Amino acid sequence: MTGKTQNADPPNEGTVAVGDKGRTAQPRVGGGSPAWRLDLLAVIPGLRWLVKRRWLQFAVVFPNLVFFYLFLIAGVFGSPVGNRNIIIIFVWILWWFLLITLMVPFASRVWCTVCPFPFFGEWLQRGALIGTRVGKPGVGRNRMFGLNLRWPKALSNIWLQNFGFLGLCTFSVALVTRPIVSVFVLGGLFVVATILHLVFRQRAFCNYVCPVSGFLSLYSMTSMLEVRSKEAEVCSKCADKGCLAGNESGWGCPWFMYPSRMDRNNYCGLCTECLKTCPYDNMTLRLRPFCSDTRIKGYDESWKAFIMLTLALAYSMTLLGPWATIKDWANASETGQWGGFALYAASLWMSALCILPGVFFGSVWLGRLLGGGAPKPLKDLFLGWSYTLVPLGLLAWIAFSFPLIFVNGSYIISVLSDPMGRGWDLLGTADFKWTPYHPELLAWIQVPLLGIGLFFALRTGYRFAQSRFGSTRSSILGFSPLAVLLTAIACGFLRLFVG
Amino acid sequence: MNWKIEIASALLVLLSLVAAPAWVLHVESEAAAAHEASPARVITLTAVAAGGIWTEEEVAGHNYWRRQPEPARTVVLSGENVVIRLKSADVSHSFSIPELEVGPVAVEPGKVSVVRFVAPAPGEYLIQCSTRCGPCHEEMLGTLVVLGSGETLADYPPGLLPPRTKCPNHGSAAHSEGGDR
Repeated sequence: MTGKTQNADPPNEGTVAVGDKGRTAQPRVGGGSPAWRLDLLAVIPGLRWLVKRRWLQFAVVFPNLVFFYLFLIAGVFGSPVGNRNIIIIFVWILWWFLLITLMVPFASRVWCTVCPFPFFGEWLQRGALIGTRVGKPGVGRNRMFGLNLRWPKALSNIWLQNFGFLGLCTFSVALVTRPIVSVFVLGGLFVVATILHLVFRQRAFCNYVCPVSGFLSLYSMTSMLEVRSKEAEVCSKCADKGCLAGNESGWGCPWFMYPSRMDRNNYCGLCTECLKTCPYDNMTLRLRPFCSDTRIKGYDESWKAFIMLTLALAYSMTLLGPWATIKDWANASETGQWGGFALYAASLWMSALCILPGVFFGSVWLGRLLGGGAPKPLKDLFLGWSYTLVPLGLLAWIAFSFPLIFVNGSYIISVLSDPMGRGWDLLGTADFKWTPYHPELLAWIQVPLLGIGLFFALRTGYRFAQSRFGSTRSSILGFSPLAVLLTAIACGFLRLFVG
Repeated sequence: MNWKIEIASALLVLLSLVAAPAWVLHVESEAAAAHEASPARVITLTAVAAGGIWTEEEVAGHNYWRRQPEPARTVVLSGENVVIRLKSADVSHSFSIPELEVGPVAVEPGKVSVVRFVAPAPGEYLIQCSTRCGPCHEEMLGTLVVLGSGETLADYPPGLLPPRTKCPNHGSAAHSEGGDR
């Protein structure tokens, strides 16, 4: 299990200045030339000013909250037909597509910055929408309301999120087609978030419960955006520690991170508080290469990777595939085939929690045998290599998501005019017909995407092998069973997407 | 902490909680009013394929899955201008009253189709769906009861709707007991 309460691991990557304003380079795991970093606050005029405004988060969350509220109203009082209701079209087609194809790979957990779920909880907890409070009782130097209990240590990992997400996805066909089911799930998460903010300190809900947060944490490792400290030495000499404890300028990290020591994106919600609280302007937003964080720290994170990959496979079969029987089983609430559904659900859970991890473990074990040399700890190899499923899984999800927008994206235009499916025509586009856009191009997009995912999986896997086995020959031999497995998985997706 | 800004933001949030549903109600009433420009009896009928029903009840996300609405037995007065707003709660349907040569009119989910006619001589007329919409399509019926001067619905017992056999779990017992008048 991974304890995340304060990131106690020392930073493994020291920043080295290499010249141009804002550009830095960092040593890479497994050797090779240093990876570049671009300090966005240094190169984008006005960005530093913007992220230091206290009203920034309210300004981006509030509109989102209003839309979310309208979506809930539409789900309850609007048409029960999924493709005529904005909650289905905007959440499960538009939001999902933007989240997985743009936000996660290019902007890390920026969704968490604008997410409406914790809005009321955080408001009640802080007693402020924009400003900050200092004093007791509270957390660190910040005055806070509610019980402010510590989250149980045994649950300080993402297992709850793993099981919650898998559970939700088991019923995904109903979730993504029936407005009222979406209302119950999204509205329920909103209520749970509010309650947990009043009971536990800071963003316990986001860190440990929210099912969306779980996969965002994993896939944000690949993202090209990061919040990091500029100079480790400045942080080590800092007596204020405002990023951790809060001060008059802002709240201590609501995600339980110690921002100055943060070396992965996983649990940074991009709330920008550390950028506001740092008295030395030592925190910054940086652009970086894809797949820069490569360290899986616990089995909970590994299993998240297994679950996400299995779900991508299952969704590709049930939502895009030609197998009517499996579709009927997954859609049991409409077809009534509950026996088939039980089989479908059991297969899904078994595949995600046992079969894929089992096959993966077998590959790692065989790789350790083939790689030879001094015995390597299996846990270290298993965790290290399980990262390979992150780029492969993310790109498989992206490839899966393109048909959603190409084939069903035209619904967005009609529901903009008639968000509740009640015969309105606000913008004159309500009669826009369902029109699939160039479905013949999908394969040309999906195949390269899978190729990119496989490339990054193989590259990071091989680099990890090099860091553990040393010689090229041992690394190749050690990594080969897993490389075969990864390639087979990519081929499986190819078969599903392009036949 | 700047209290003026905090209070203004809090008011903005609270205002939005009220304004959002108010806006929805406003747009909905505007849409309905568009069909009420001429003096007429305006009726909204919703087609529900699950159970095979035309109903006057509101069918929305919150009730579609948990209960079956009652089949429509729509009452108008002879000679009245009648406007029927037609909606679908699920799939494509089409509305027709064959005896009155009204329709068929396509009824699509998310759309409001409108039929206008003058209520004919007193009597009860069968409303049908003429697009195969599901396993209960054959029983997808409702009726239009046109009352003459001095008549009430009690003059039309028990109604035209035949006993429901394919989808017996849907609709009320009263309607399943019905037969030819």
